[in-house]
Amino acid sequence: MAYNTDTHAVAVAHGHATFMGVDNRKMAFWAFIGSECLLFGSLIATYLVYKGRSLVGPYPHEILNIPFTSFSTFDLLMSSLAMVLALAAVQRGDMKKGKLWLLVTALLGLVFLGGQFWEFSHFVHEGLGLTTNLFGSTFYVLTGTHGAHVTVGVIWLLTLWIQALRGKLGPQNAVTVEITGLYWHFVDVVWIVIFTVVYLIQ
Amino acid sequence: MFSTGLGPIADSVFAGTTMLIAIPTGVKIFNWIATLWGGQIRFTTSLLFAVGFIAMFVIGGLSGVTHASAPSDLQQTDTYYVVAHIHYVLFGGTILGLFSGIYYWWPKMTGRFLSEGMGKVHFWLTLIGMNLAFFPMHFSGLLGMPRRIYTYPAELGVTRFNQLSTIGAFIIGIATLVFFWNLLRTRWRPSNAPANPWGGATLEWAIPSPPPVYNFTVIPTIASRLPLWQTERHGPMTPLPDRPPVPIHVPGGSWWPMITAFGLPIIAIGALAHLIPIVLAGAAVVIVGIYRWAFEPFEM
Repeated sequence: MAYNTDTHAVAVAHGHATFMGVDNRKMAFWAFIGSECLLFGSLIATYLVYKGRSLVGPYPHEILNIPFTSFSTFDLLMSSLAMVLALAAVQRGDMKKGKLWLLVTALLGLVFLGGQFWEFSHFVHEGLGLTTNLFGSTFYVLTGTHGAHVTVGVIWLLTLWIQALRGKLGPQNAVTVEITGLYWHFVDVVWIVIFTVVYLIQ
Repeated sequence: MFSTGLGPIADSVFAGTTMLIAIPTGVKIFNWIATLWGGQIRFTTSLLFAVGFIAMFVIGGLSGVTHASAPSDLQQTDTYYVVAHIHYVLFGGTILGLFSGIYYWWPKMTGRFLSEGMGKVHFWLTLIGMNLAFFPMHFSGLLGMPRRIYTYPAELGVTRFNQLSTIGAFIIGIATLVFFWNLLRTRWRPSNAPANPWGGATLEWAIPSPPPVYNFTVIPTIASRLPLWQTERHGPMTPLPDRPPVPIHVPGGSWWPMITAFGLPIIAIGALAHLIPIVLAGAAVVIVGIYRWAFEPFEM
């Protein structure tokens, strides 16, 4: 994903242009996001198909904590803002700000993961396991897959942050940060859909 | 399908579809023959395998049509008759074609010709071996030799046919050893293949043998489907420049995809043996492999 070499950096920073004029890595990443849409689409569809069909509790309305998850959602939206600021800073060549916002994005992602960890352990404590009922199975698989994506994103952001600390990230690899941003915003948008479908429309 | 007891309607459908397969197969066989008809025949090892492939595939196709008769197929199911059929199709159809392709493209891939002499020994031993191994199976199968067993009563009367098949299998084995030796010895032979050793018309023959890592110096512009040949309507392709006009960007090689792939069977073995630590170890290999793969420098 990343160009780390400083030699030829300018010559190859744009990778190969595709016939559409888009950087080939960006093109590949959009294709990947397309397949991710199918993955999350099928998980959300599964959740909707089995909605309201659980034979035993706990049921969604008894257990979901909308104020708490609203905070998580706000946190994730703010991380997207930080990601935008990080990319803008890297593109300007302001690596000091770039480093700061990359770290802030990763930390906000970690806060979201902490919230999800707390939520899951609270639900398990309330008696909702993966195999308790249809709500448990579909809820944990859907939100857990999303959480796994956030985890990958946090590792990715921290890797870029460490590369930036070592001076290996600069405006010449802004495309790398841009692609990271694409992933991060995608994960964020998916969460908005999940939050709406699972938490708000009960 | 006939032996599963689906009933006459389903059996009729399967009989129909089995017969239908013969039509595209026949069309393909005439395609290949017509291709040969238009060509300038030189009996190289590659062509011998190609011709052998057509002949053997026809035998497999003919025995395939016999499966379309439901009452007859009921007798053939799970006997050596279907083993004979599948081997004429798969060995005669696929393996011979594969060998033909290897003899044809080996000089392009490595810059070195395979020995034609050894290739002909390989071809004739393979052809004799496969017919000795698989042709008697038609008879032993119809006499009642079941497939997928390692022993049978002597009173079945198929011992002689099975012995012939065994001898044939060993001949195929010897032929394959000749083939492997032929491949191996090119390692120590000098590079002797020109760019277009067979007078081919397609683009792979426009570049040196073996091809340089970047393949083409420039993307060639072609005017016909036979770009290297002068045809009635089109002249041959203009020669490519020897040296690239601009530096060619080639991605570097990487070990990490292989290491990632190596982790997957470790996970599978651990899961099969119900050993969670091995599953976790394999998962660790996969995760580290993907991580290093994703973030490794791009260039050579």
